[in-house]
Amino acid sequence: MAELLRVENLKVHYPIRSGFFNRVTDYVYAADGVSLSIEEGKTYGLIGESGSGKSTIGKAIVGLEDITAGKIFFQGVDVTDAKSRARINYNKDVQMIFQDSMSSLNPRKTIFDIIAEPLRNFSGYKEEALKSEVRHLLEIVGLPEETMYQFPFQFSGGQRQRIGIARAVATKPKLIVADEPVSALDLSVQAQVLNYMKAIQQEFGIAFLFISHDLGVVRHMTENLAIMNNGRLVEVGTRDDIFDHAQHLYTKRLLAAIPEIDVPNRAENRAHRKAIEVEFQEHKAAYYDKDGRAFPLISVSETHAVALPENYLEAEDL
Amino acid sequence: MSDSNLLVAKDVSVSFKIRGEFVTAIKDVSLSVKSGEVLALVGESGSGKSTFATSVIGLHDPSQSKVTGNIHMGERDLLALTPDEWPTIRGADIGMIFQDPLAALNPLAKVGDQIREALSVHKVYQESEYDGRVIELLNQVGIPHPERVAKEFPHQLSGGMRQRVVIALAIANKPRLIIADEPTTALDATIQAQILDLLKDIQDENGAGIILITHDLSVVAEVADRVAVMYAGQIVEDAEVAELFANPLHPYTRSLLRSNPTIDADTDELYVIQGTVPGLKHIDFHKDMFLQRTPWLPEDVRNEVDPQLEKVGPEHWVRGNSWRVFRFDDEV
Repeated sequence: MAELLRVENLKVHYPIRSGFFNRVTDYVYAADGVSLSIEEGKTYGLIGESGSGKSTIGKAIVGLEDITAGKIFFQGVDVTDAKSRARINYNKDVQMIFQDSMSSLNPRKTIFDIIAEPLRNFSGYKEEALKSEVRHLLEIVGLPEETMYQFPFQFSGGQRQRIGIARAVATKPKLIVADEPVSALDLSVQAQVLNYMKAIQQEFGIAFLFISHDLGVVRHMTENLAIMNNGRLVEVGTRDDIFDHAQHLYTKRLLAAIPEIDVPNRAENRAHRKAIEVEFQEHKAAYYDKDGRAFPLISVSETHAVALPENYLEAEDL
Repeated sequence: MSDSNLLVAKDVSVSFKIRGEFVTAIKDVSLSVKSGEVLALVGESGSGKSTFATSVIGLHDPSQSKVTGNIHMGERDLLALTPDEWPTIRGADIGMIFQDPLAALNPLAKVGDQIREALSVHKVYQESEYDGRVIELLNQVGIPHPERVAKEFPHQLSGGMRQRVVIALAIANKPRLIIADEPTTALDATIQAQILDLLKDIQDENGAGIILITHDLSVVAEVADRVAVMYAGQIVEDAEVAELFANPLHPYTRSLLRSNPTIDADTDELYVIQGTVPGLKHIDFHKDMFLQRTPWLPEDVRNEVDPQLEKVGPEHWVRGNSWRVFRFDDEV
């Protein structure tokens, strides 16, 4: 499979200003040397807790965030600055789905205008063609034609999220960055939205960057994933690598925290979770450098890389 | 009903005034909670679970809503309490944990002072004990450096720490019943696990009963002792937790379980429940409203009149008869 998007050593640092003359006194290292690669038509999962910098990565990829250092390549072309993005029509090829469907849809526009906006920007369709295209897009996400003339507040959360998906798909993008697309939804509605996402992926061959804190959802959606902590990746691998052979203590802790539907064994699961938490508190110093950030990734297999200290493997033998 | 029941609610109905008309939101909900038991109330948004909880702590505005039925805590009928009596119950006998900790805390008061205030309102502890009790509570909810945190404001704490403070407030006066409304929904997975473990520890130590409101079945499986599943303002299934997950019966419970991505990671497509939760004005309480979303079932099953909760096992009740013939649409 061909590589669609490659992020190389991406850094996004926010300056902290304080004191006399409002000088820059320090930086927040929201993303600090992140590299990842997304294949055409595949879903890549980016997992982290709040404040880990996962949304910063997503925003940097769609161009909503100023990049401090590093490069982004789209189909081999450097798209790090806005000029080169405009040249290859990058903004048409890369779209975004947001977590909060209410605030990401203009409340004063009809659904037709909301979905037609990217088409007006990029396709040059005439009114009639726009109508039939919007009708088709609504059909894909399972909404009736009449919804075209309604406003966002008239829909439920799940329906609004599907409108957001229809808008993102409108320009036939090659990549959609989905930032926590289902975390605000009820379980049954969540299932529906995830199914629609998979369906459009199959129909149009769209790649997703699926950003989420929910490991259960990510396990369902993605083949390859990265775990992010404090602006750096701590573990990268296939679903198998991460869920069955996690090596970083942080990943193990995250996995242990997933609540499980396993009532007969819940006491053991709880004990296991507490034991991992104790281990994490006692040994976390060994897994992070002196500034509290993760080490560079080291490959442990062809697909699996972990941010372990250099001497980790020898230390393990002791 | 045995004597160990801490709270017994019988035939509780709540209606709200909407444009001058009373519209029923929950109808004839009967539940009981024992001391030392976690009762989970599960359902989608709009199923009425929070409406029930707010009626237990008397937060419905009497001019805008009508609450009927019985809610007894021991000998006391909570629905007969006057507005003056409520403050002596809330925060003392019943503690409450809300979903959004930032909204539940006073942004202008230090954490320690807020807990102190909760203690001073109810006089369960002597004033000389307050300082010690504040530190003891912060310790109990697992806050590191309690002396320092007591002097901090809510905005200086992380989301998980704030929720711990809210829990400390809820248990300050050793309530016999704690109502936790989506206590971990806004939190990260690792913090959620810690908060759930904490609730469980508190329950073991204090022996309080807990009503846990959530839409997350995996949370239920981790901490609940009993589960009541709600749909469209009524209880459709009520069972002991292991029994419910081993042997779910009502079509709604089975559908919810099947749409959970954490259970069956390998299927390509998740199960989707057709349709949506009905609006309040469209609920017919003489029918099982969920069966509107299972149109493939025979007409007479879907239109069963006045389905009742029926005991089907030692610790298991199901509403109506639809579960006897229920099949998923792809199994028909």
